[in-house]
Order: sequence, then C-alpha cells, then structure tokens
Amino acid sequence: MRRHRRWLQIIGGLLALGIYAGSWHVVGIDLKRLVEPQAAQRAREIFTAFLAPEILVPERGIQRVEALVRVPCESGNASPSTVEAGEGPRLFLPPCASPGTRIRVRGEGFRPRSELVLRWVFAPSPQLPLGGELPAGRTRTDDAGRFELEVEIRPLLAREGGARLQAEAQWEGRWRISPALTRTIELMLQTIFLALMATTLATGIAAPLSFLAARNITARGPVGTAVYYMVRTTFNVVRSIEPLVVAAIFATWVGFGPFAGVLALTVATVVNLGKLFSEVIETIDPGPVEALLATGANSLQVIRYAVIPQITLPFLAFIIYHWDINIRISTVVGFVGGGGIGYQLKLWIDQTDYHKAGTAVWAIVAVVSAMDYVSARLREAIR
Amino acid sequence: MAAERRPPRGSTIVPGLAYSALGLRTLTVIWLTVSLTLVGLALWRGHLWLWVAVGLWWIGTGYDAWRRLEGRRPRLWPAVLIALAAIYGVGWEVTEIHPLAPFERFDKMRPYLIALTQPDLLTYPTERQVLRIPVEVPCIHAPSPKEVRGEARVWLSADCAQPGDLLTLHGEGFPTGPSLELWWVNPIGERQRILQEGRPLSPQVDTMGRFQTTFIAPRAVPLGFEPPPGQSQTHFLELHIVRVIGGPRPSEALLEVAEKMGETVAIALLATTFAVLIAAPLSFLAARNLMGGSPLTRLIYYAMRGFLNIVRSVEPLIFGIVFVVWVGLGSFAGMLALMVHSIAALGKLFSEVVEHIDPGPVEALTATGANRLQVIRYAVVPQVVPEFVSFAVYRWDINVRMSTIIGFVGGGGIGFRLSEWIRLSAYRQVATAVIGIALVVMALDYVSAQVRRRIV
Amino acid sequence: MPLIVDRLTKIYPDGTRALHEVSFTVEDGEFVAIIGLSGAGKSTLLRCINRLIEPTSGRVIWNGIDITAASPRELRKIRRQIGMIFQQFNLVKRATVLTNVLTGRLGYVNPWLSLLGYFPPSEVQRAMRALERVGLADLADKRADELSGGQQQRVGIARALMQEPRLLLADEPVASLDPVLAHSILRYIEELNRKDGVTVLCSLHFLDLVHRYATRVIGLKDGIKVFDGRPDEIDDRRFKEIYGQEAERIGG
Ligand SMILES: Nc1ncnc2c1ncn2[C@@H]1O[C@H](COP(=O)(O)OP(=O)(O)O)[C@@H](O)[C@H]1O
Ligand SMILES: [Mg+2]
Repeated sequence: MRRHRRWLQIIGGLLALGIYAGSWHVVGIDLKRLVEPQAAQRAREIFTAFLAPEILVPERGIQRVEALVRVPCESGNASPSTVEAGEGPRLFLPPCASPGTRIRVRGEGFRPRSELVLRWVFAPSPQLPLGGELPAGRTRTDDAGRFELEVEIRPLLAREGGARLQAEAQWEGRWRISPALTRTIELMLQTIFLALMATTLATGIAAPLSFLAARNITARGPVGTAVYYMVRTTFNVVRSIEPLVVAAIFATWVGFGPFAGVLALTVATVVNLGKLFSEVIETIDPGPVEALLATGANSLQVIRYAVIPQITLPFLAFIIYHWDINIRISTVVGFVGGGGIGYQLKLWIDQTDYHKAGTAVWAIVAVVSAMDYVSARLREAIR
Repeated sequence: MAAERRPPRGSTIVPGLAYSALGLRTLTVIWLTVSLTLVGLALWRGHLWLWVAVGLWWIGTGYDAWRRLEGRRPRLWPAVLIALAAIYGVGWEVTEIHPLAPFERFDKMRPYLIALTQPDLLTYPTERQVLRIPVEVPCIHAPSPKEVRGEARVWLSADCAQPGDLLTLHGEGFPTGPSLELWWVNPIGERQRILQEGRPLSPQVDTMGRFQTTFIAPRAVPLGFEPPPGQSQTHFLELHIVRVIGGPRPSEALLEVAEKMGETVAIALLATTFAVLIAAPLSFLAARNLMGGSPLTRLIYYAMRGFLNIVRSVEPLIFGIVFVVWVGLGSFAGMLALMVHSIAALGKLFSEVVEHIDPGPVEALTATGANRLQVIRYAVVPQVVPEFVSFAVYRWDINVRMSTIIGFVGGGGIGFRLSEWIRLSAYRQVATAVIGIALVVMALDYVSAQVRRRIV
Repeated sequence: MPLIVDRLTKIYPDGTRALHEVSFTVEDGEFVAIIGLSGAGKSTLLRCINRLIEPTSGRVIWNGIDITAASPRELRKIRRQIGMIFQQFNLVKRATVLTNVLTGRLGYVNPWLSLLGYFPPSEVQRAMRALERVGLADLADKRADELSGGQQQRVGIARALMQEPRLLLADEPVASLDPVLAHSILRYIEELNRKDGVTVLCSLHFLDLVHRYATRVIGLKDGIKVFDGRPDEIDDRRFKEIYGQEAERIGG
C-alpha cells in the first residue's frame, strides 16, 4: 500500500517535472535576454522615462528673420553697405559680400536674453537638390533684445551665389500642462465612461437573464430545465472568451472606437454578472416568498416584494465591483481598437515617446487604484 | 424644539449648505461630489444642455432641501434623475454609442457567425484538374460562344466580356463525385475565386454529368496595366475539378491552434509558478501584523504595500508592451508580463491571509523565545499554506485567460495568431481559435475548481 | 362555514409519505392545536390547506369552496382570506416593517400600482392600525432585521391582520422564541380568535401551551391522525401514542 503511494508520488513528480521542462522550452525562457546590454539599455530608458512622466512642458518661443546675401558682390554696382530686413525683429546686414571676408550682422527687436542662432539657408540648386543649411554662428540677445555678430563668408556661399541668412531667437517660456497630459486625462475620462456605459448596459441585460439562470426560479418542468441549462452553458462558454478577443472582433463589426469596447465589455459583463446574480437569486430566503404566496399575492407581486428587496443590495455590490473590473479592462481594450487610453498608450510606446507613455501609465495607476478604493468602500457601505 | 434649530430657508439657495445645516453629512458629501462632477462635465464638453442640467440639479436638490426644512417628506428623485441623465448623456457621447451600427453593419459580423458553425478544423487532401478558357477583356468584336473540349466539354456563353457582364458556363460529361470551383486569372497571373452573393461559387454537377452556372465577370484588370483603348487583354476563366483523395486531416489552422494553446497554457503555468514563488516571501513583508515592530520594518511594509498596489493596478497587457520592447517579441515577454502582474496581485492577497492568521500560535512561539524567522516558519506558514494554494489556483485560472490575449501585444501564445487572423478577416481560422480557447479555458476551469474543492 | 379536510394525503416526490388520509372538520371560532413529533407532518398539513404544498389526494373544503380544485386565480382569492404565521417569521429582512405589513394586503390592492410600490393611503392607515394592535407602531420605519425575534413575529401577526382573515394558519409560531415571548405571541393569536372570531389552526410543540390556549387538539404521528379531542383528554396513554413509547411528559 505504502509502496504504491511512493510510486504514485514518483510518477507524479516526474510528470510535473516533464510539464515544467516542456513549458520552459516552449516559452523560451532566457534570462540573459533581460540583461543583454541593448535590452538593459532599452529597459533603463523606459523605466527612467516612466519615473519622469510628461506633465508640464515649457512653452517654446521662436522668432525668425531672414535676408538674402549675395556672394560675391556684382562689381561696378554701388550697393548700400547695409540693408534692413524684417518687421518687429529686424536684421541689419550687407546685401552682398565677397568670399573669404567677414560681414557684420546686427539685430534689433528680438526677445531679450534669448538664445540666438544664425544659419545660412540654401535654396535647392543642381549641387544641392534639396537645399541645405549651414550654421553661421550663435550668441545671446542683450537686455534690449539686440545682438551683433561677425559672420564668415565661406567658399560654399560663393559657389551657390549666396544664400539667405536666417536669425532665429529661441527661448523657453512658462511651464504649462503638456498636451500629452490633457490627452491622457481626456482618454482616461473616456475610459471611465466606457466602463460605466458597459456596466449599466450589462446590468440591464443580466438582471432579467439571471432569473432564467437561477435554478430555484427556472428549473421547473422540462422546458424550464432546458432553458436553465441553455442559459447556464451560454454564460460559461462566453465567460471563457476574454473581452479583448470579443472587442477585436467587434471593432471590425461596428468600427474602431469606444463603442466597440462598450459592446465587448457589455458582453463579458452580462455573462459574469448573470452568473453572480443567478447565484444570489438561488440563495435567497424562500420564507418571504412562501409568506407572500400565502397572502394571495400574484407571482409578479411576489417577485417585487419578496425577491427584489432581498437581491437589490447584493446586486448593487456586484455591479460596483464589475465597474471596477471594467475600468481595468477598458484601459487595455484600446489595444485592439476598442477606445479608451490603451490605443494612445501603445502608440506612444511604439513611437518610443516613453515620457508620454509614463503619463498615461501613472494616470491608469491613479484612476484604477482610486476606483479600487472607492468600490471597496461603497461595497462596505451598502452591506 | 426642532423648529427653533431649523436652519434659515435661505440656505436652500446652496442646497449643500442646507444639507450640512440639517446635519445630513453623507448627503452633503454626495451633493458636493455630484455638483462638482456635473460642473466638470459641463466645462469639459461645453454643451449648453449640461449647464441646464447643472441648474436643474441645483434646483432639484434645493427643492428637496426646502421640503426637508419644512419637515415634509424628502423628494430627491427628480434631481437624481437629472444627474443620471446628464452623466449618461455624456457617457453616450464620449463612448460614441451608435445603437444602429450593429444592425447597419451586420454584414461585417455575419461571416463570423457563419464561421462559428463551420470552423476550420479538417482538410481533405485534394487533387485538382484545371480547364482554362481564355476570355478577352474588354470586347472589341462581337462576342461569340466558346467551346473547350477535353475529357469533358464546356461552353462559355461569350469569348469576350466587360467586367460586370453576365456569363454562362455549362458543361457535359463531368464525373459526379468531385466539386467544381471557378477562378478568374488576370493577365498578370493574379487568381481570384468567382463569388456569387459574397460566397464562392461552386456549380453542382447533375446525375447526367452536366452543369450550368451563371456568374458576373469580375473586375480583375490590375491597376496600371489597363489595355490601351481599342485593344483587349486575355484573361482566363479556370474551371477546377477538385477531387478528394484520402481521409480528413487536421487543418493547418487546427494544428496551429493546438500548438499555440499549448504555448498559452505553458505561459500561464510558468507565470503563475514564478509569481507564487516570489509573492509568497514578499507577502510577509507586506503583512502589517509581522512588520509592525520597528520603524524600519514599518517603512518596508509601507513601501511594499505601495509597490504592490501600483503594480497591481497596471493591466498585464500594459506590462506586455513594455516587456516586448525590453526582451523582444515572444512568449518570454508575455510570461514576464503575466508574472509581474501576478506577483503584485498575489502579494496583496497573500499578505491579507497572513494578516488574518490566528495570533495565538505566534504569541506562544514568541513566548518560548523563538526568533522572528522561526516564528514565521512554525506559527505562520502552517496556517497560511492552504489559503495560499487556493489563491494560487485562482490566479492560475486568471492567467490562463490572460495568456490567451497577451499575444495581442506580441507576448506569444494563441493571441498573436488570433489578432493576425482577425486583422486578415480569416473568419474560419478565428472561429477555430475561439473554440479552441473556450474548450481549453473551460476544461482548466473545471480542473482547478476540482482542485480547489479538494483543498478547502 | 366549517373547514373540512377530507382524506388528505401528501406523498413528496422522493416518496416520503408526509400525510396519510387525514380527515377532520373545524367549526368556526375553534382554536385547534396540531401536535406531533417533528417530522409528523404538521407543516405539511397546514401548507396543504392553503396549497402552498400541492396535496397528492384528498380535498380541503372551506366556506363551501373546494380549495383543492380552485384555479390559480380563485386560489389567490381564497388565500387572501387565510392568514399565515411562520416559525421563521418569513419577513423580508431588508424591507421596512411597514412595507412588510403592507405586503399582507397584496391580494386586495391594484396589482399594477403595487408593483410600483404604491399603496393607497387607506391601506397605509390600516397597516399602522395593525402595527398599533401588536404594539409596534413606533417601529414602522425600521428595517425588519433590526427587530428582535418576538417583535418580528408580531410584525408577522400584523401582516396576517392586514388580510382580515377568517382563518389563521400558524406553523409553530413560537418555536423560535423563548417561553415568555411565546405566551405574549400566543395571546395576540388568542385575542384574534376570541375577539374577531378567527378560526385558528396552530401547530405547537409544548403541551402546556396547548392546554393553555387550544380548544381542541389534533395529534399527528407519521402523517396519520392519531388523536382528535379536547386538550384535557390527553392522558399518559394518549401522550405515548402521539409522541412514542419512550417519551416522558414534562410540564402541562
Ligand atoms: N420538500 C420535501 N421533500 C421531501 N420530504 C419532505 C419535504 N418536506 C418535508 N418532508 C418530509 O415530510 C415529513 C413531514 O414533514 P413536516 O411536515 O415538515 O413535519 P413537521 O412540520 O411535523 O415537523 C418529514 O418526514 C419530512 O422529512
Ligand atoms: Mg414543521
């Protein structure tokens, strides 16, 4: 007898070992991949970016003025030594120059104390089919918004017959809420509403269905029993399909967007709530039902006065709980085109915009934890 | 008495004030929350009707507060209805609900429903014999019937056609066993099945070995290869005689689903196992009753709690994308994603189990002078193991479901293939995968329910 | 207008014979105690009378109407004139006391309005009077599960009062209460019987209660009527017949 058990244990152990070895092989576990230099670098990038989500971004200001400088000067023509370009910010510079010399460039009316960059901008030409840019110098504007700089006329300029000299003042302005944050907030609200609409719709469908799936109500007579088993089986089958699969299919049905997500979550919630609801109904106290039947009440009255008062609060608790679950799911239903924050999050990660992705992730953490807390408190309160 | 302390009626101008003056704390909080929510929604969406709803909510609650002040029965339902209408109105808009879309676009769903009744499970090895009939497109001369002779004879009603023309094909001397398929081949060799009402056309051979079928010449001229005006191109109509040789074999999709389901279950198994092994020790660090001793341990406790809560609120699929970037596409990334989420989820459940143990044995062992680790080993662990196992099985259930979709973000398992099939509208393959998932998940559900019943 | 029970038999689907050819007649105004060991068929008998349990054979005739042959519609009409009180009170725990009492009137009020939760003011007043009668008027707005067992049973009586019953079925109304409360509850039932002339059929567990309140006793054993007579006729021999040879008399 004991020997028998020992053998069973050994066989069971070997079986488990085999299963694990097989799984290890199939899944392709390779811990080295976690720490390979490139992978580790990517991971570090992602996680440091996640720790610094994009919430505020500085306002970027730019002023640009440009003027044409011909190289070399056409001989004979007496040209003015300086011309003025631009309105608002103005640039003073000679209209032409000889190669190898230096010209004086002066600016006025720029934003005080900002970074100023001068560059040559070439028009497309046979040598430069796409045009081009060449740095010409950098400085800062003074307190009055002026600057002065000497610029070298390089041989390339002569070859192209001159170029436009562009002065660009750049500065970082006030910090303001980043567009990524506003987008995230908007999408998080959509996510919450997605879950709300799905939960509400599902409640409306699951509540009546659950009576059909309750043994004590429906499973009477052959027809009732058949209905009971049919509804039960449907619940169990549909429950085994993840809402994301349904959402992916529904996205091709009703089109990409939150509505597909709402429908998919509704389906998932109907079957889950339907099962839970029917269990509530199956465990009601039959006493009041009996008492009301004895007073001569009809069956609708019995449901209204003996069944519904008993199930309302448990139903409500399950509804709140599923709203919570649905918010979690709706954060990812966008991966398959079902609306909510998920789509944007995936986009940001695919574009390696990890700081923005971090914003979305933290928003998800905040909303999901808050909902988790609120739903737990609400469920406690209604007990 | 009560009348003396009655707040002034003017306070109903701000209903929240009246409620708080009446000492109705919960109602005051609810009123504030709802008011802020409604105003927030109105600011966000900017619709006039939302502002109207805010006003009506205000008036409705004011009326209710006033009734309460007067000592009459409360009447809150009109205000509640307005608030609900506003919130659901916004929800309707934000989630772009279009109730008719499912009906208007039912044609997109029908193939899925049909496919579910005929999933791609079996294939029969076939042998096909092909009859090619040239067709000039477009007609540059008067069309005349065309005959092709082989073992069997077929007639096509015209030897040239315009896309959209009706053509009739009939044949004689065909064997009755094999099925027939019609294909259209354009001048650059692209082959398409000829459809009738969206379904592949498959003419039936009668007992005399004859058939007749009518179809529409498809638009098959490739873009950029249109013939110059006044000239035509030669297309071919192909009649395939498909003979089944040998018995049924599992289809490619079925084999693939079976293999990928194995992978899916393996992902779930490893993720759950690793998560349990990691979460079990961590949970002791997140248990208040064990970590209450010194400020340091309490710090660890709070850090652990915070960490678990943050990680828990991020769906495994989101970890999935991160790990795919980190270690590359494949089941390893999916396993890691499921594992990390499971560690957090199990860590929290486990720590709650640890917090609710009977303190008696702990006290007794501490009294004998055992150190902290000894106390855990002999007083805590024996108490928590059954519940840990039960939660682990529960998590395994969830992970099996999750691993079917972790592939949607590149995490391996059936999900990867499934998302591809959905994208390609490979309805029958989708149906095969969905049925496969349902069967495996339900079977494992049943098994784990049995296991849990044994333990508890 | 007597209650005639004629060869009533109940065999449950699992084959248990809970009642076997039980016959008796109850005149108006009687207070009949039904006694017997648990499992003797007392609950089954009471429930067969208003057909909460469908009898297998036999007839129940009341006021000249054959209850056992009534259509569902007629049955509801009959039931609303028969009050019933239960051992476990059978109140809707999460509803208010007032609502629980009002439900006793469901057979009379407009069914559609009642589904919306509406009862005419006259009915609400009637409910308040019923609650006053059992001394619970000030608890009308409390949830039923906040009340003690004795109070809950008084709500049960108030609910039965709402029906203005001609017949009251009470299935061990005091078995879940302690002896002092038992007397107070039975006194309300006795008052109904004496003052309002309501016929009472009440299953009881304690012989002293039977002696104190009943005008007539029916004894059941294994679904068979083994005794029918006045309470003072129960001597030791009769007692052993009803309760079995090993039973010892205590009290009463
Ligand atoms: N629903 C039922 N199905 C099968 N047997 C039952 C059922 N209800 C009661 N019985 C059986 O019928 C017999 C009488 O039960 P009951 O009328 O409840 O007795 P009492 O109320 O006197 O204790 C008992 O043997 C009991 O086990
Ligand atoms: Mg009984």
